Amino acid sequence: MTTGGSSFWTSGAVPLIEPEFLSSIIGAASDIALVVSAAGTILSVVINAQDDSFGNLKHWEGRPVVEFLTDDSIDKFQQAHNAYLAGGLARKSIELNHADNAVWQYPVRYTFHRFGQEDAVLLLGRDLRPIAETQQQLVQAQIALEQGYEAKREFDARYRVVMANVDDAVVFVSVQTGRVEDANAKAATLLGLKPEALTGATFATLFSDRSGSELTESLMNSTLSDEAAPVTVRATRTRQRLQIHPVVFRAAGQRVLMCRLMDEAEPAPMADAAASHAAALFRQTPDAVVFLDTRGGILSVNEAFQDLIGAAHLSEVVGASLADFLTRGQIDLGVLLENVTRSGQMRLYATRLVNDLGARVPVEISATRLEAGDASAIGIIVRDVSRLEGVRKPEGGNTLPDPGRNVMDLVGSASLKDIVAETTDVVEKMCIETAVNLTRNNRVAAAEMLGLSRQSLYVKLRKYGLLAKDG
Amino acid sequence: MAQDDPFGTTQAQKGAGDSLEPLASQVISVLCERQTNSPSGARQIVVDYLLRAATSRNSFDAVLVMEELRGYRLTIDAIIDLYIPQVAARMGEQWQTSDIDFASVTVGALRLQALLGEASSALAHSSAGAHDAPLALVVVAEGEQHFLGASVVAAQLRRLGCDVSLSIAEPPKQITNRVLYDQPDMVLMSCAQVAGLETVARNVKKIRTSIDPAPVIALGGALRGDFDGIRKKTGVDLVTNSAKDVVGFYTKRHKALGRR
Repeated sequence: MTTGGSSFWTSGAVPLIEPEFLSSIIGAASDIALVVSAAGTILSVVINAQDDSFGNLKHWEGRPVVEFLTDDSIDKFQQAHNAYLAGGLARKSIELNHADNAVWQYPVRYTFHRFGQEDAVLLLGRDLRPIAETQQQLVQAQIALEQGYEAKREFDARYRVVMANVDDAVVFVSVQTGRVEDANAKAATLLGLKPEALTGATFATLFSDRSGSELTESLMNSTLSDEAAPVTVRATRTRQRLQIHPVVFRAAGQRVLMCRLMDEAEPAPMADAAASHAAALFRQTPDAVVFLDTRGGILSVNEAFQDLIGAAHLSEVVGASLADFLTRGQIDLGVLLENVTRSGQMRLYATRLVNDLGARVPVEISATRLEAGDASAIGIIVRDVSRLEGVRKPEGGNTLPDPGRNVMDLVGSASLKDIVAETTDVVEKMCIETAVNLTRNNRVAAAEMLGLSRQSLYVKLRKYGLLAKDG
Repeated sequence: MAQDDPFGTTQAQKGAGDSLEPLASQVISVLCERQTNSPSGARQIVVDYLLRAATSRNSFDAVLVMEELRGYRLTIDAIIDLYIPQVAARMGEQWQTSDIDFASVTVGALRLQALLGEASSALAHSSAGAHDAPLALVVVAEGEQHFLGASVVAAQLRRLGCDVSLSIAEPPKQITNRVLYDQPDMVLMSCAQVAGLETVARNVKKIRTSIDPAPVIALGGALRGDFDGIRKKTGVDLVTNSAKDVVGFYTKRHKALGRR
């Protein structure tokens, strides 16, 4: 329709349309048209004569329109109708669902029009059933998907039950990456790790006598040989000699090794309860435990240490120097090693641990020289004192920390100006650390998150020593 | 390195810094609370973001949206319990006010469903294998178009330690068979429209006549009005939209009667 068209309609150039033609024109222009009185009664129903899919709706005439609307459409119609009666003309079209004693509902998009007759409204409707049919197909497809997820969940539960209850220690390893994809608790026990820590770890790092490529090659050779001889390895953590019985298979195109681990020695139940308790303590204690070689290189750590320094995988820690995680680096490590070498142990050493992102945690460390078998090592226990402070403080009886008391201690210790300035510094540092953390050290994103220019962020990072990592 | 640490330069400053940290944490927690401004406890900015993502004409990647939501430091629990239902309700309101069409609502709901799947994938294994976990059957009856709510409830039940199976659009006979053979401790039915209440009443009657004692039967969904009247009309034990209520009801009965 053009502007010429509009003026054509308003200029009176059109002769009055005869009533017998008007309804068929309206019916053809829309799919369904209703004339509704001010009281909400349907005065007339006009349906496109070319389309008989609506059936005969003559029985609607003389009855309230809400009788033919679904519950969710009644309010919607009434609001639009009231607005129309109040003189407004809705600019938005409204979608209404019709229902007429049938299970099948038909959605129609209506526009409201004045047409001269007092307070009655002409509703011109577009049939939305083709869209609704597509919608139904979409919903059905989703239902099928959901049922598929349910079935998958069931298989998953069965798999987990099998993994948890079989006597074999089982590890699934990706041939391509050499990483552990999944393992059961029995395998974790044999390897001296928690099952969660095992997932994602490089399989070869769990054994002290094979490199990654060597191990994968040995395992693949074993699957190809007729005798299927096991591969013998030594576990890094438990120092046990283990046999690996591999089976290779394909899952979603990827080659995966299912490795059954067996302790080469005869199991000696109850032989050394203290040793198994010690191993369990190492895995489960909330204090971080680290074993070092005599030069400070990390041989193994427990889960608590990984948590403390925020390492996702064992591989990020094992092989590194402990100095990398101490705020004073080599100086701290030198003090520890010297004392331990001289007197065999060091009872208490207070320092801070620093993680990859520069966050510092105050800790207390004790260290012991271990003379075990062929090589000597150093065992250290690291206790997070920031948590301990929270436990030690409320000796007065009240176990909950009292933030008000902290403020009371603070007021009077310095001028308000100084306290506010220092609080700002602390808050600023915490926010910047969090932003850097959240953006995985992406400075552009961190600056954006904080509403700072890159320059300002850089200045603040330097101010708070958060650039230290990059040197 | 020590010089980089504002708390480590001198002993006096170190003490001040340490005592300031609780105050700073307090300040931060106050700042965090200020960001909560919707009556339900959801942050409006996040609800608006998720609504835009669900109804956008651009493509929707549940993994990316999930990462974005985690960027707002939301827990998975909050995403499932608060944000997905809120956004679903907002889409319904927008349809009522003719601001979006029903096709957009459907697509939006399916997108939220995908997000829910992504959010709950991390929780999928938590209760597997626990043979003594209560078993809940969540039923979306034939003819019902809305199953996002039921999926949210299923995820909530899993987090509450239940073993959950979801029945969508299955015929009444199959639902009765499930109740007979699986012997769930709870059956939760979802119903969005008054017209569906008759189907619910029929299903409840079948369950009650086929197994004795019957499981706890609860009804939820986009129902409004007289909950007690609906309870009597359908014969369910309780009408609620809270998974916790149903588990609480089951636990009380379980304690009183002993497990079936």
